[in-house]
Amino acid sequence: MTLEHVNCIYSADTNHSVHALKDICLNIDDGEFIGLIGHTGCGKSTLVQHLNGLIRPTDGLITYDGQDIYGKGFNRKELRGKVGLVFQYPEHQLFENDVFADVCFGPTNLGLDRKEVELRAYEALHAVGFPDEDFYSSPFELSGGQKRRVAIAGVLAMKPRILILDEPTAGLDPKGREDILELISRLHSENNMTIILVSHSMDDVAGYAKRLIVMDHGSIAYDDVPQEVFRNVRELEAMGLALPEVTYIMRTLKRNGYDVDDTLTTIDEAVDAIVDLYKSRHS
Amino acid sequence: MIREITIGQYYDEESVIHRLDPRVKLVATLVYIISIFVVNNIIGYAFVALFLGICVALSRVPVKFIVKGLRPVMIILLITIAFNMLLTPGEILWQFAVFKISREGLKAGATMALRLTLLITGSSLMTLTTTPNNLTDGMERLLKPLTYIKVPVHEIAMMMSIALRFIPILLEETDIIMKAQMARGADFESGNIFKRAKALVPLLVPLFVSAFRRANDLAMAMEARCYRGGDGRTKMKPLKYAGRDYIAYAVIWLFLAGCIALRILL
Repeated sequence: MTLEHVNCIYSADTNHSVHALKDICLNIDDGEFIGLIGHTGCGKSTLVQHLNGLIRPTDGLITYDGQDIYGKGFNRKELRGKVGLVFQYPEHQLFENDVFADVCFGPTNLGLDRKEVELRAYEALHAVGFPDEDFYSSPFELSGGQKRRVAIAGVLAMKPRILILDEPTAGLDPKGREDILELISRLHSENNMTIILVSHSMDDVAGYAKRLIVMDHGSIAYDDVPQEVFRNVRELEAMGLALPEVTYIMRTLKRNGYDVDDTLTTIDEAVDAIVDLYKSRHS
Repeated sequence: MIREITIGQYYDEESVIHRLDPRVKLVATLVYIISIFVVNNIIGYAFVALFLGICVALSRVPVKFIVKGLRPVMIILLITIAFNMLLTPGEILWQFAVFKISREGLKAGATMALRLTLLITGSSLMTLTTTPNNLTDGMERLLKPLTYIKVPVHEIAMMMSIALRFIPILLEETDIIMKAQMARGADFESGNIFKRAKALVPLLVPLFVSAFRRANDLAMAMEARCYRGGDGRTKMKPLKYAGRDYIAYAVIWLFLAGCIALRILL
């Protein structure tokens, strides 16, 4: 999937026009795990809605499998099955009487037969770790974390090749957050699904994403592996972003004369580094 | 697509018209509407249109924006013209089977279209230049005398401002929900009328749920701040007439007088 010089301007002819995307060029390969990061209002949600044809770019070209998604005869409904987008709030999509029926909505729209639809819904709910006994309870009575699982399952049931999640951890407690991130990382490793994880928190993406795209005021500021991106501490902080908390701890340790790697981004790596340091000092 | 509707929207800009007291604008709009129906000849309409043009220019709202707001009512306008043209009896100009166009009908249709356009443009200028809060504030003050005959003016004004406040929120929410369902392959644009009506269920259910949740939250927030209706409640920013408001009043009444004069004299 590629984007070439994509621009998006909201309310173009008025005095409150917003240049939401400025000349975005992007190439997304199969099997990538991308973290899309940026401060609130930087255009990340706008960008991901371009990827499955929900917003038409004011200017520029978007291709999927080498085909222009606004070209003649291109089926955008089919595209939305291949590029699955999970919105931030599950409340915006849950509407059926029970969870199972709600998950069936996506595959039914793809025109599959009943049997295939139900099979996919069942698989999807299993994949997100949703308990069997709650299949027929109302989606409105679930907890925040469970609702989000159902919302993700609703998109997974369409068997997308690219899965985009817009702030999937917003409003969840630490446990629920961890669970959802683990789930996403499992989908990536087991099904080789391309993942784009949108977030404003570095802690969310640092441990999982292999490529980080940082957006600021509608343009791409950085596009690199996490360790490289995190070298630009000052610039990131000026954009209203922070490094993962662990990285700050490692940086403080280094500044105080301890010989540790200050570009570590996950808690596990940091624990290992500190334990190693402790051992080497006491042996 | 929903964002295209501009009727009743506020257009933020610094201008004389924007700064006018909302009461003045309400009264002026009413007078203006009366004047549209007072004038009955071409010079009269030209006079009204000129007045409106000056107001639009003063308000600094782009003409493009106002014209865009007229688009949704175009259909009503066309239907009105068609009915007037075809159904008014009189001297026949053109006839085809049962359809006849008379000179009187043509004239009535044109007049109606002109009046409606002036009416809609004029009243949308008021909403474009007045924030919903100011508008309901002004209305509350103007209708205050009605409290003596036990009309709950404050409560009505409060309900109105809440309703107006929620329009953009619910529109935005509708937009997001539509997108979220379209991302799951929902189709709102094709199929026959039954299919389309059925396609609205995935849109309306989340919308209603969220509207109720918001209403609940709002009621809670109002109670938490001890809201208990209008009795003895004071305003943080009470409405006060300034010099320009008196001038505006003078202008609008002179305008009405001019319209009446044009009707009598010509």
